[in-house]
Order: sequence, then structure tokens, then C-alpha cells
Amino acid sequence: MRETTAYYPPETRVMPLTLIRRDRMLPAAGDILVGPGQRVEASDVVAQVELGGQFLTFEIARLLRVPPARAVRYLKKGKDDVVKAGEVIAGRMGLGVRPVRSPVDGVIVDVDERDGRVAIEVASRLFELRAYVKGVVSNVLGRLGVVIETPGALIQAALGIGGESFGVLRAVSEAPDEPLRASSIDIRAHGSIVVGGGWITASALEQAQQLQLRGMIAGSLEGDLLETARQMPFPIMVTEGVGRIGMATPIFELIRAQDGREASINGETRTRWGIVRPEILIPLPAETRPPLPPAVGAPLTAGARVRVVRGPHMGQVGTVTAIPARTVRIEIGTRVHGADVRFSPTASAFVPFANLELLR
Amino acid sequence: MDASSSQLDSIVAIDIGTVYTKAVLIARVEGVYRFIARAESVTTAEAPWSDVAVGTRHALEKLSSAAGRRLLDERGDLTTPQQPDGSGVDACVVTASAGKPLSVVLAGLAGEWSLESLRHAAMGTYTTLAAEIALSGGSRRAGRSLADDRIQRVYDARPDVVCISGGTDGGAERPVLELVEAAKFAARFLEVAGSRPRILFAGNAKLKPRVAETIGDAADFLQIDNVRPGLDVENVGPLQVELETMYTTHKMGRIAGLATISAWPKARSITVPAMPTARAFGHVAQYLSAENTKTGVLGVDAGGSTTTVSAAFGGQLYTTLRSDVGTSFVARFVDEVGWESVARWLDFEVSEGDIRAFAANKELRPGTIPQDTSDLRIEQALAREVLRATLRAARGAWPRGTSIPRFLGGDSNVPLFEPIIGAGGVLARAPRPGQAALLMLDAIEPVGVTTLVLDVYGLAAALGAAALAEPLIAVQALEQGGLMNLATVVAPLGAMRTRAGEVVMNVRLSYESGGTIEDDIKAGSLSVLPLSPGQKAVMQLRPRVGIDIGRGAGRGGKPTEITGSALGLIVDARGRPLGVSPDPKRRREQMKSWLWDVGA
Repeated sequence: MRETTAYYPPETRVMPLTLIRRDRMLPAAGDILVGPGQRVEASDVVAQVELGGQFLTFEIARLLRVPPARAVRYLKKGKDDVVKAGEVIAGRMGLGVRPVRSPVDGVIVDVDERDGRVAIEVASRLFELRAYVKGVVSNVLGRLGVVIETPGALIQAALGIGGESFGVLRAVSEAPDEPLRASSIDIRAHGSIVVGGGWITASALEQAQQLQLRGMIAGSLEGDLLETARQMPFPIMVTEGVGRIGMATPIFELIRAQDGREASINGETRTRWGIVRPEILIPLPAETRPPLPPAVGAPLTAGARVRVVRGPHMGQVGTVTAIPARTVRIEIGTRVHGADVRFSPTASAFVPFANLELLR
Repeated sequence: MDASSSQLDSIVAIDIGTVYTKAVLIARVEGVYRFIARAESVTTAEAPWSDVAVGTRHALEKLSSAAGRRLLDERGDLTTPQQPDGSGVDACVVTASAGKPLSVVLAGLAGEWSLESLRHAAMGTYTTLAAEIALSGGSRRAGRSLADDRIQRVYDARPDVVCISGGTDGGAERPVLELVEAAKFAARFLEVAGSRPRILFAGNAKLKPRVAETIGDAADFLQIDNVRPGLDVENVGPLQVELETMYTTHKMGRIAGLATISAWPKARSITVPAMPTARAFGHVAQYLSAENTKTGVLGVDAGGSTTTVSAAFGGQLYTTLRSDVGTSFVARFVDEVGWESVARWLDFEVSEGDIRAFAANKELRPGTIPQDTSDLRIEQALAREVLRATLRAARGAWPRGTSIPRFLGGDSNVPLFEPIIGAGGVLARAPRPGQAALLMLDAIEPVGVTTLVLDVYGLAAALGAAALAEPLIAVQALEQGGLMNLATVVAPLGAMRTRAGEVVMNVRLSYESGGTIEDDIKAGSLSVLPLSPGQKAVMQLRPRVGIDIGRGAGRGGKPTEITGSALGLIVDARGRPLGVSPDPKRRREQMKSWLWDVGA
């Protein structure tokens, strides 16, 4: 059976200069604190909302010793009323009958007249939404959020552990395959986002915690450190995957070239049902407005820059030199379609399509 | 069977999985439906594409090329019906598993079987368990009443659906109503927060009027037959049907681009609504079991994102899914079973870090394939554990005490199945048939005499769906080799470990083409007797005293004719449950030896 060799590979963005746009959204409608055209720092609060989501219910009828249907007439507060801790929400005259007081600050969100029950949503914390990335507010999305825009470098990582952070990049590795150890991270890295080359070691994680890093970027993370990494108070970003894999050279060089600049990192990673990829954003000055990232969905062709994402060449970046029309037998004995990839003037290999991704 | 009276000359079946989209072309050739070609492409349900029609077109372009037949028009739509020049197809059936599963909260009474029955029902379709509430069980958060705690747990889970059971018909009342109240309040609060979970009550039938009164119009609510009407009676079918309908409507219906594909079939072509892949896959097992009154039929689909076990007994289908675990999404699963459980299937030494790194990387790049042997072995080891875990969950839902399934007793809790269908990339793409066969034997641990067949073209779900458009398609495509015969298996039961090394059975194959081969089978061994595809032979089995192959201890039954397959006849005398050595070095030798025995 003969098949066409058209293949549409997954893509990873590694862009030295593009127009970065990020929607910053509140979890619920709230107050927007900035306006269009306003310049913001990553740490600026751009919107806020009071979040609830914790509920207490009170069986008024039982507490006041009245039939459920009559309980509502003893209510001192109604639906949507704000209550303070200790405030009476229901009461009646009667021997030994105590008024029902709210134990917390909150809002009455439900009055079930039939059951004689009242529900209070506990006023909890103020959620403050930060800009996350230094730039300009290009749009305000009603009471839900804002759009921040900036020229800058954009790198999609493979795996992130942890949430958002921002800080100054501190490149500490000389080579893309140099393991990130405690000895590489000294006091000058305090409060910064450390950039290594190879894989993160246990000693580096310990040291990072002591120096209160804002984040850590490396090629990979050893498999048995995944759980430890989840306990770290800062995000960890790996560009290649899990194991002992050096950072792809173009990514290493791109980040290293921005040593000392402020970057924003987001470790959120979702692998299905709404994929979210971790990202490294480095705002940069630009005299002219750079283009947005290109549209995706191009088939793989000769000349494309690709990265190997599994197998013996994992993490290596090269250029497609040819796409054989026929299948090729790989080590395990299967015949697969793939591409010939040149990694250097002296090194090339056949790589199955499934193990390639486009770097753009 | 004759297909000449059918309206359909050709059909394309499309299966949209989380990782890959597959397309299969079946056409009538000389009056018989045959498999023509297949192709696959990466599924494009996720950003940046967010449109499954893109990946489907890619797969159909490849299929066009493979079959030498133009399928798409200039706009990129499927041409229907088939045109006089041979382009296009008469029908298109679509199955999908790429949708996000339904998020469910299960609530029942602690110490009862109702929660167990709810689990069986929920695992019958694409669901993920957001929370489980057992009344009188669970821990309470500080400063809260138990009632508030239950409300909060449902609220925090933000489910699509809350399933409540509890109480046999005429049994417990008050505690069940407390669960209903909690669900009602949570649903009300969630509605304010922008979501509206449905409440399905499948408990004590006597309570239905009071449940309806309690909920009133506070939530979207439906009453269903009790999943546990009696202590010994389970009735999960009606709830399962409702959950599957919800999945089809609320989740599959939201797969971006699916509507585009569904709109392709035009006038004169036959339209079958898109259906969940697991249901379509189950149809095949169900169809085969309708003709089999002695044993069940088993289908296992080790998909990238979901693992499905479909067991059918006398035409009755029992489907169990792990929507949270597939061969590509195993990172959390390693925590569930422990990395050592995976490592025990390997013939080389690995560390915890190796297994965790493999699982994490596979999840980050689910479409990738193994290139070297150790990578392949780890992938297959994980698949063994994924299938074993899904089978463990499935077994609880299978009926007992009926004529089928028939259990041989002893140490096995797997009933007799004939055949056993293996599907999913890890099986279908196994470089050697022995690898697929050993994976199935280790994961399923079948007993008695059975046949392993492999869905090597990824046709099974497609055939199950196509059967709705034209039943002959499934029948004839299966008969025409749509499934690959992997091996005939004889797996005797008996005290294999205490009789290790002792001859427990004699097997003789008398080839139709002449010649005989005979083997004394030793306890603990795994043997393969050759019988190539196209060959036939008469198999005579002579088990020793105390050894059962499904025909009674020590009874071999009459000689039976068997047909050839990729591997021939496998005699798996390793015993049940399958024992692996606790000593890592010996265990690795054991694995090496088993792989060698089946030519893997």
C-alpha cells in the first residue's frame, strides 16, 4: 500500500521576536484597574475580584423550632444581603430559642422557603490579577479582564511545574547539555529565574529553594525528581522533557542571549482536553511592531527546522533534507514514514514523522 | 452472504481519537464488502487547530492516495454519494473519543453496594470521577456540618452530572434524601457560578416522589431505575444509557469541527449519527457473542487516551472504560499502580526515574512512537498494567451465577472467552505478532481454549459503527480478514506452581497438509506450535489429572480443527494468576524467556 507523505507535525514556538498578546482573565467578573494604552509592569495588579465559593447552610426551621414553611417569616436578612460575623440572620421570641447568627462575613445566596434553610457564601479573599508580562494594555474585556501586548521573545517549553512568575533571567550554564547543579547557582542568582542547559539535579533544587529563586529553566528534569519539583515554591520549566536531555541549542542560545533581562514564565501544562503549553516570554524593545506568530498547519517539507522529540536523537534540532517516499525500517522492526534530518554537517539521521516537531 | 441487494457500494469510517484520527475505506468488490485501505493523521481537536475536520481531511487525503480513489472535493469536503467515475463514497460513519469525558460525582450510602454499582455505570462511558461521596464516610472539614461538607464537595468538583443512588427498592430513605438535598444546594450554587450540573437519581424507587419534591425546579433532574434494586441485583443499564446520551450530546457535540464532518453525507447517502468509539467497538463484541452460547467474547482496546474493555455474554454487552488512562496518558497511572508493577514486565533493569520519565514524556508527546527496543518494551509493559487495571474494574461488573460467563474456578477470575479481540496502537503496531500476543496473555490471563485476534487495521470500531448503516459490512469485512488471527491459545488451569516442571498436558497437531507435531507441556512453560495462516490442523489435547482446559478436569474433549494464524498455537501453562518471580534478576530472565518463547 502506498501513502502520500504529507505530514502535518505538531509545532513548538521558538521566536526571537514576535508580538506577544496575552489575555489576562479574572475567574469571575470584577474590577478592572487599568485602561487601554496604559503601560504595565509584570507585577502590576490589573484587575481584582472578591472570590467566594465556600458555603454554609443553616436549618433555620430546626434551629428556631418552627415548621419549615414558617421559618421564612423569622428571617432578619434576605437573599443577596451582606452579613457580618455575629450578625443575626433569623430569630424569634420564645423560651430557650436562640437567634441564629452568621459565624462569618458573607452574602446570603439562597433562601429555601420550603425547607426553611438559608445558605451563606463566605466572603473569602480578594483575588488580584497581575499583568504577568510587562507591556501595554491593548484592550479591556468588559469586567472580565484585559489584553496585554508587547514585542518580545516567545519560547514554548515541553513541561512546566507550577504557575506564573516573573523575574530577571540569570544564565548559569555554559553549554546546552551541562547539568544544572547546586554549584552552578550562587548567591547572585537570588530572586532571579535561573537558566540552565541540561537536566536539573536534586542539589540544584535544594539550592534554588534556599536562594528563593523566582523560577528555573533547563532542558530537562530527572524522572525521580518530579515529585520534589512539585513541592518547589517557584515554577520549573523544561524545554525538552523528563530525563537527562540537553536543551535544544537554538533555545539555549536564544534564552542565554537575553541574560539579565526580565522574563515572565508560566508553568501551567495541560496535555489533553484543552491543551495548555508552558511558556517563557521575554519582553524586548522594538522600534517597529513585530509580526504575530505565524499560522500553524503547514505540512512538513524539506528545509524545515525540526526537533526530535523521542528516540536516540531526542532534543536535537536539525533541518529536513529529504522526505523519502517509501517507508523505512527502524530499529524495532517497524516500517514507518519519516524524514531525513541533518543535525550538523557531519551528522544526520532518518527520524519517524511521529517523533518530529516543527520549530518555528 | 450477499451484499448485492445493498444500496451501499462504499463506505468511509472515521474514528477521531484524542491522539490520532483514523480513516478506513470499505467497498463492495465482486459482491462482497472488503477492507480496501486505511490511513491516519494527528487529531486536530486541540489548539492551535481546534478543529477536528482539519485532521480528518489530512487522514482522508492519505486514504485517497492509498486507495487510488478521490474522496475529497475541491472544497475539502467528502464527496458523497459515490460518483460514476468512482470518486467519493456512499456513506460515512464517524466515531469519536476525542471529547472531554463527562465529569461525574457519585453519591451513595457507605457500606452499601450502590456506590459500586454507580461506579460500574459511570465507567460504561467516557467519564472522569470528580468526587465520590459516601454518606457517613469521608472526612469532614473543620468548622462545617456534614451536610455543608457534602454540598461543598459537590460544588468544588464542579461536575457535569451528579449520580445519586442508595437504598434498595423500599430500603433506606432518610440518608438518601440527605444526599439529594446536598446535590440540590450544590447545583443551585453552581448555577450562580455559571454551570448547571444535572442530577440523576438512580436509587430507592419508592423515594422517587419525595426526591422529585425535594429538588423541585432547583436543578436539571432525572429519575432513573435503581442501579441496585436488591442486594444481589445490579441494574446499571438505564443509568449507563443516560450517561452515554449526555456524553454524546454535551461532550461529543462540542468537539469543534465534528459538525462539519457530520454534515458531509448528502442526499442518497446514508447517515449514521456520530457515536462514541467505545460503543461502536462494543458492537463488534456484542455481534460476535450473539452467535456464541457457550462463552463470552472479549474486546480490549488499549487506546492512547482511553482504555476500553468490552465483554459480551449471550449478546449482552458490558463496557468498562478508563477515560483517565490510555497508553499515552500514564503519568498519574504510574502513581496508582507503582513503578515496580510496570518494571516487573521488563527483561532489563530500570529505575523509578526511567519509568517516570518515560510516562511523563509520552504524555507530553502522545503521538510519538518507540524507536529502540527498550523504549518499546517499556511502552508495552505500561500497556500490560493499563489493561490489567481496566480488566480489574471490568470484572466487578460482569454477571456471576449465570450459564455465561462460565468460570473454571480455581485461581482464575477470568471467564471463558472466544474470541479475544485486541485493539489499539500499542497492539496493532507491535512490530512482531509475538509481542502483541504476549502482551494480551499477560494482561488478560485468558483460560481454556480461545483465539486471539488483532484489530491490526484499526477497523473494529469502524465496523461496529458501519454495521448500523449496513449490517453486512461488519459481517463480511470480518469474514474477509478485517481482524488478524494472531494465535489459538490453550491456557490450562491447575496447580501449575506446585507442579512446576511436571508434564501437565500433551498436545498434538495433525496438519491437513500432512504431518503431525506433538508436545508434552510442562507446568510453568509457554510453548508455540507452528500453524501458519491458511493452514488447518486437528488439535488434540490430553490434560493430566487435575488440569482443566474448560472441558472438565483431566478432560481434553474431542479433537477439534483449528485454522492457522500469525503465531499458530500457543500453550500458556504458566498458571493463573500469572506468577512473576519476586527476585528481580530471576524475573528479568523469566521475561526474556517468555519473549523468546513467543518470538517477540
